[in-house]
Amino acid sequence: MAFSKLAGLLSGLVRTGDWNRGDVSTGRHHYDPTQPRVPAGNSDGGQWTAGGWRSERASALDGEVLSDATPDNEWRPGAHYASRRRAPRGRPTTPGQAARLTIAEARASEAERKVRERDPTWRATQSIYETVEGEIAALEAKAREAETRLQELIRHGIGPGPFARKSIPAPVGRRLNSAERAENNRNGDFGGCHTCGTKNPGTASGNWFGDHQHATAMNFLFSKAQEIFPHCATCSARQGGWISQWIRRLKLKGRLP
Amino acid sequence: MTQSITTAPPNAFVIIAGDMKSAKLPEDYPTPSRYAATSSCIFAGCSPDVDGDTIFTIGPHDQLRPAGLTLLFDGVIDTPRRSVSVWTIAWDTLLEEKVATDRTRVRIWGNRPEFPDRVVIGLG
Repeated sequence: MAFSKLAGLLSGLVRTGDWNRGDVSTGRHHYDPTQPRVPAGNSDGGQWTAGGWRSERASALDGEVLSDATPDNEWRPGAHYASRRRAPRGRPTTPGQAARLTIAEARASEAERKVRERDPTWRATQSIYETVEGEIAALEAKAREAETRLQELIRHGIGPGPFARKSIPAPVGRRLNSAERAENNRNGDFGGCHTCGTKNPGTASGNWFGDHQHATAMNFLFSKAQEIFPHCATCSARQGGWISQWIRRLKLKGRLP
Repeated sequence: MTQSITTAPPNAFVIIAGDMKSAKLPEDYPTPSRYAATSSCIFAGCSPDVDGDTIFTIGPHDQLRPAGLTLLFDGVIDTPRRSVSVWTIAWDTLLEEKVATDRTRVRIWGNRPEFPDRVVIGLG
């Protein structure tokens, strides 16, 4: 115990007259291990009490067991994770476990955010868990699922790809005119396909596909104006195959007319 | 009876199937030929929209005259609704043709092997 805390404890005992169980003048102590003390965490924490002590918090929580022992299941690393609990669960028993939980939550949340930037309809598979370790495992699985989905979306040209550099604003209600097509070709010749990076458009004419991002068929989910990025023939076809599956799934679920 | 439409489908291909709900879509698209098929669905390549429109024609095989065109696909697909439709990738219907059977032979001709801008779909 730190000296300052010990001094404060002794000072408090003398001030409150609770030294009546011992005899200061004779130095005889009548130590009673059953005598209650003010619980830790209070301003008078650790001090002897005659038994009538109640903290402000205890007054509001009648029935709760009060103890000055360090609780082994009350560790709260931060309100943010506690407030996002969807279901009752155990609490981290160690700071290490709490740290792993926080990291798992952050990783899962970030991965899900990145996926939903490209596909707002995506949802991770739901998990059921009863323990903190179960929740950590579920969050890690969710992060892996989201990261796999993100790679799938990128590979299929859903959202600007890893090679996306220059783009042009997408014309509304019409196709690219000759000037816009020429600019899209220059962007493709300079930076390649925005999804795979190839410098070969793969078309007979040598024109680059003008790929709308977000894809026109998905754009009802986004409020941003579309941009045109250069796309090669292979990536455009792969994107089309993916979108046809995605739209059909929504239609069959009744989420699209 | 034959039908035609002139359009520029996105992503330079169309979907040909008998029924959207039950069709099994090809998963390995694109193939080098730009055609891919299952027992119930065909992905058929056409001209990119940046290169202009494609003319699609569909009808009974014996009523079509694909003279000068190259046969690009020949296969049989399920047609449980007794019709064959041509869709964009967003499942907007471009063409639809009635057929007489639950399985239908589909032949597709084009004016060139890759990115044809004239596509003829013969049924039966």
